[in-house]
Amino acid sequence: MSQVMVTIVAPLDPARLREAQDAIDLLGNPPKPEIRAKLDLLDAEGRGVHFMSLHALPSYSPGKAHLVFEFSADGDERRAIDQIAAAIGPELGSVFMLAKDWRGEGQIGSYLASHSFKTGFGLGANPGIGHAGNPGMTVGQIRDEQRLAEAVGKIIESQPGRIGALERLQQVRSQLPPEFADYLKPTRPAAAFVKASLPSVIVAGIGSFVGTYLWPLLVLVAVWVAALALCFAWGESDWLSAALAGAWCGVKTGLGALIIGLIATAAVLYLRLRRLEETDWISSRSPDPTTLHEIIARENFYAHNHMVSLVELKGGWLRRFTIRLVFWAIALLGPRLYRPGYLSEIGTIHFARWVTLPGTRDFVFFSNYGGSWEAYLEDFITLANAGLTGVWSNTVGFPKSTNLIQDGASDGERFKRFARQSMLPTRFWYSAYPELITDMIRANAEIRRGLSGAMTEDDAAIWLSHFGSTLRPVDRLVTSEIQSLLFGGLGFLQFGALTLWNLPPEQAEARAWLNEISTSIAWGDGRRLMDDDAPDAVVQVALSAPGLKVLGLSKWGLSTFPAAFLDGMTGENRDRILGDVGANAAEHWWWGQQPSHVAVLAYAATAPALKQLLAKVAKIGKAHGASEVHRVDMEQFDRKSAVSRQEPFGFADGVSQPVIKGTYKGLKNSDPLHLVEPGEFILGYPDNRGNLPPVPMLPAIADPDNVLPVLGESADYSRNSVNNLRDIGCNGSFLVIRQLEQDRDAFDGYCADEAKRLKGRLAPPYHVDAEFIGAKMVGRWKDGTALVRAPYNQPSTPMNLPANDFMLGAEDSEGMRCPFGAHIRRANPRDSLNPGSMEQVGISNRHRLLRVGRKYQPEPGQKPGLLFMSLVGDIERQFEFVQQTWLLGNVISLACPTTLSRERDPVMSSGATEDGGFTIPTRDGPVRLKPMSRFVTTRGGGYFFLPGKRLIAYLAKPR
Amino acid sequence: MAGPQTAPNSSNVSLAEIATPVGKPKGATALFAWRGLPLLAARIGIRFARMRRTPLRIGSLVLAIRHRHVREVLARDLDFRIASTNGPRFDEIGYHFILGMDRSVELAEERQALYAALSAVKFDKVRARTQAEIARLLQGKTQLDVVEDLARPAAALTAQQVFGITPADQPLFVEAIRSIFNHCFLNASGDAAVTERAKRAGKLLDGWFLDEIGKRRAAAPDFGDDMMGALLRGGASDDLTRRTLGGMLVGSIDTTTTVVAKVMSELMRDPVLLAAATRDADNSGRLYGWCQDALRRWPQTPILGRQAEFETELDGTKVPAGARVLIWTQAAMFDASVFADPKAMRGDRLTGDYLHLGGGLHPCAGRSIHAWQLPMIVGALLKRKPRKLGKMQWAGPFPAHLPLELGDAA
Repeated sequence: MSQVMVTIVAPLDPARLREAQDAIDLLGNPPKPEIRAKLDLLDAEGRGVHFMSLHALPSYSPGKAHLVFEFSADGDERRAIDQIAAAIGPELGSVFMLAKDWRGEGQIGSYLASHSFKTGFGLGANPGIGHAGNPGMTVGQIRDEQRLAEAVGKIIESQPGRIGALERLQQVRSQLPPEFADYLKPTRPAAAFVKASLPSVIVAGIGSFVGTYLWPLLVLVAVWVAALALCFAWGESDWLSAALAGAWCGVKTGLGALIIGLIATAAVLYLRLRRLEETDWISSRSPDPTTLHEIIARENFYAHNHMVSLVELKGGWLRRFTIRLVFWAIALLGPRLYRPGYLSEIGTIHFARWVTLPGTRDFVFFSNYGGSWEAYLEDFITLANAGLTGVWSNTVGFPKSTNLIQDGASDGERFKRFARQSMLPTRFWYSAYPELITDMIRANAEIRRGLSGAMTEDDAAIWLSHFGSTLRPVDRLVTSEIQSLLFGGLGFLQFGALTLWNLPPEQAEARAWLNEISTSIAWGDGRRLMDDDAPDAVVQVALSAPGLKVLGLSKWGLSTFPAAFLDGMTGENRDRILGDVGANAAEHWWWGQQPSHVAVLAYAATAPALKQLLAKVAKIGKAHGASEVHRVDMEQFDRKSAVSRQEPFGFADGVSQPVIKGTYKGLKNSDPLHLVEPGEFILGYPDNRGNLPPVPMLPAIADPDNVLPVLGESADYSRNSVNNLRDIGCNGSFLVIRQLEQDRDAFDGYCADEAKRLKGRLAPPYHVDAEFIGAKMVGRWKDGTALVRAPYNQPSTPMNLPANDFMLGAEDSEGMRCPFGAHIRRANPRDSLNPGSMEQVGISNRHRLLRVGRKYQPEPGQKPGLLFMSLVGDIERQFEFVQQTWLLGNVISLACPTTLSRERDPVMSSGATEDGGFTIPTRDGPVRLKPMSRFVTTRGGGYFFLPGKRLIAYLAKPR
Repeated sequence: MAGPQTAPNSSNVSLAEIATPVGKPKGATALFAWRGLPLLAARIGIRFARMRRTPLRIGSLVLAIRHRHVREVLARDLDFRIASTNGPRFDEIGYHFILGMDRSVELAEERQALYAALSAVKFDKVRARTQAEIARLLQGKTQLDVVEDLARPAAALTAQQVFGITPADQPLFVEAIRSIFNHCFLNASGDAAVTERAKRAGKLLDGWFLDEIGKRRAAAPDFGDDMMGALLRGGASDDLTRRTLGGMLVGSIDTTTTVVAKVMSELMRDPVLLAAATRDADNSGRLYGWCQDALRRWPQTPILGRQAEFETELDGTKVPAGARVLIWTQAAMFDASVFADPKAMRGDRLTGDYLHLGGGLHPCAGRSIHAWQLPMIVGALLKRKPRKLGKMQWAGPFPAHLPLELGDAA
């Protein structure tokens, strides 16, 4: 449906200006109820008048004044005028009878039609342009959609909690009152918009500029070409060839002269413009208090307001051209660069127009805008000051501008004073939907589109966002669909256990098991679990590749998971990557030689609660034929206790952790050293490089209920997405579990022996003892203090916080404080490879691990150790890379001296004879530690996937 | 859409009344049978479209030729609608089906019912039985008619297993399906005889479906493990069950048959391609890739149609309300910006780029079946060392016979 913006201008005797204003006042702003009632009527197709205002305006041209009637309506101009004349013809007649040329016409409609006034930006046009904020929408549609949104809103309010968005939408569809049945049928999509590329804008601009402004010159060139052709051909026997030669000559000389002339003219125009801009008068007038009072008395009755501003265009041929040029640019760029209904980035205007009244330099601006005048002007000043300056810098008194579009309106307060003093009271104004603003109208249209067009859970979530929310930014975490472990180690739940399960081979039973266990899964930021009414025991569920298969994930879907996950930790050839050879080999493990289907991590606030939870998990398993393969009890973890936070060798653990942007910790701790994008750990979000990493997928056909996240969905239903691939990784993460047995006696003994051996090797300030040796090997003192900050001794009074904000490269580029081979420097070299470079920190951060492990309770005959658990977005790039390249790999890749090339991580060392010990660089030369025995032995492990809520729901649903 | 209230008596309809007559297709329908000229036109067309950049509009006809334009039209289903093109054809025979609906709540609900039922089918069993049947059909043969002796019966068997309908009169069944398919998708010239045959066939189909549905309901709760059983178990009405299965069934048998015939023709025409495909005869995924690429030369449907509901724009070309939009899928599959070295045959292109089975909101609902059924039949033939292909005979737009000599009878 088309909309039309009509401006009607009638001459008025300046002496009758007051009389006309009084007559308009009688119509009212807000309008008299009887006038409103008449204008509110629509035709059978829902067409009506959106906005209307009537003004008696003085003029900057002596002896002139005007009646200006402007309205925005549906359909074409003639139909709109007829509708208005039929509705309020007599009332309008009482004003227009004061016009100079009123002849007592019986038909107000024909009088209005004959005074309709067009604007444009061509050479002969009256400069002006219009803008519509909700293009193509009729008054009827806007009102109907508001009613629909209200009806739908009521249904949503009555719905219960804890149902999915799509189910919510389906309920709305089934409960919609019969009067809205038509809204369930196919609807009109949002207007197609693709931001134009720069080359296409340039091409369009050249074509449009030539067609609008240069055509007279092209005509001259054509005449010149014809004349030369004629001259060349005159009297020649081969006249055709001669004429062609003449024409070619004419084209070359004509276009050449034209281009040179244009360049020269542009230069002259620019210099002239700059000179004018330096000398133009700038108004410092304040608004007239009486007029201002009259304006304010008519504002803020509705959700939107109207303004009319009258200023004088600057004189001279240059300004006559530049005002047209600016309107031309707005007409060219607006539809190509900005969404339909938006003026630059401003979307609050319903209808606005600039008009130059005929035969004058009176420049009038009418706007129907949402919100307050102050907010409206602020929008312009901050979001569209270039366009605003481009237009109004051509008017008298405007704040100082540069290069036509710079400065000017960005001088906000001066501009606002200029705007206010140019305004006149709007004496008659009508709005067809006083309670609505453009954003509400757009949201209502989306609600209508989504009602029939939303087909997936994602579509439905977007649809729901139109009720008082907004679209989710792509990097914004959907915390409610992410298992809580990703927000930290659930440290406030002190008791925990890992149980490993194999599911029954019958898919239905396996799904039923998952369905039942899923009710105990904790989702979202773990802090919510600290609420008084939160459960005191929760589980986290992670699935292995075989587990996903048993649960019915298709072969195709499974094949889209990364190879490392599919192979599993004990897959062929993975032992060499992970160092699982010799005593670490899987054959010696306590568990995990064969991947279990599921890892259930149970956490509880108290020991009895954990016991109860584990009993529940066992009961569910028994009920569905699942078998518990192994169990690892975690040690009680009290995060306030320093001892509890120590790993078995006695070092403070978990000091350095990456922080995910968008989490509570991320918002609180913005240290760029550790802040990483969600996509580094959580699938479905951009990573540190700004890319959306590849995700495991399923074809749409495997998701008949459309509950899984859709890849590449459309936010406005204009494009269908229901057959797009499904992102089954979304809001999930890979969980690496390793049970690491630690031999503290061996570690302590080695440190003591080496300290004794090297006692006299280093002079003060070094103090070589077992603590020193251990600290050098780890990279921190036992209390967590970093060696880069305290290289010689553990501080006698612990630092307030274990320092973690250090740059290893910048602060210790030679490794004199924290050796290159130290455990923490290997596990996270930070800027070691390029000291001081934050880019290098970013590169290192691509390999960070989010550690959520705890100490385990050793069984009789076992040594204590860590149940290492780490969450990663990419097993190979993060866990396996760190394990293979940084901890156990060739240290040349760390840009270290080659003398370290036979070393491995001193803590994780395999104890093999080929391991070359450990180098402590000092100012007294390198100190070499002897090859160490094995301190840490891998006793179990596996790769799991910690799914997002929707994949759990998908896999748990019976088929 | 109201369904039939009573089951018509199929014995009143003879095979001759519904069978598509043997003979070359005429008029616009011939487009589906020609090979060389459409292929040449597609290659020229895409070159032209790439030079032009924006879609071509001639009056109220818009041509989407470039791959991205085709994708755009298919994705913007509310701008470029299908109901006005396909809807009346389905409705005429009483099979209001999702492929004839625009995006609406009705479509969303019926689509969900269809895919839920489809995903409930145990395809391992279906595949095994079809594979066994293919082996049986080929057993001991050195000469066979690819269409009648292999592709059509194999596809019919799959369809019957998946959709749950097994009429006693097999020839009548497959001809009825063909008539309806011809009317719904291929009757470009609006041949009244085709429509009449389809209407008669539609009534036959109604009878078979309602008969079977009645039996299933009587056996409740054991509705069966095929799509029909899943639909009934899921609470679908008789009418929805009939229309959903009918719509699926119509597109199943002759699509497979035609595609197998065209793929074999292309493979036998190009020894290098044949050798490459034969090497992958046991690799279903790879072989499917070869088949898809071969079909670019002779697709089952080279052009799709849509209609602009409102005035809109397609990559800079104004599309007036009511304009017909022709989607030239064959040309788009020679778009070098998506199909690198488009003339070359490759088996490792991204399967998502092919447009043989439509796309957007309305891709072929049986595409997952097609993906294993086509390589299964073609692979079985390739493993028998095909030697010589005879001349293809036509029944309207459908391959009727395609003699093939095999080198290995084992």
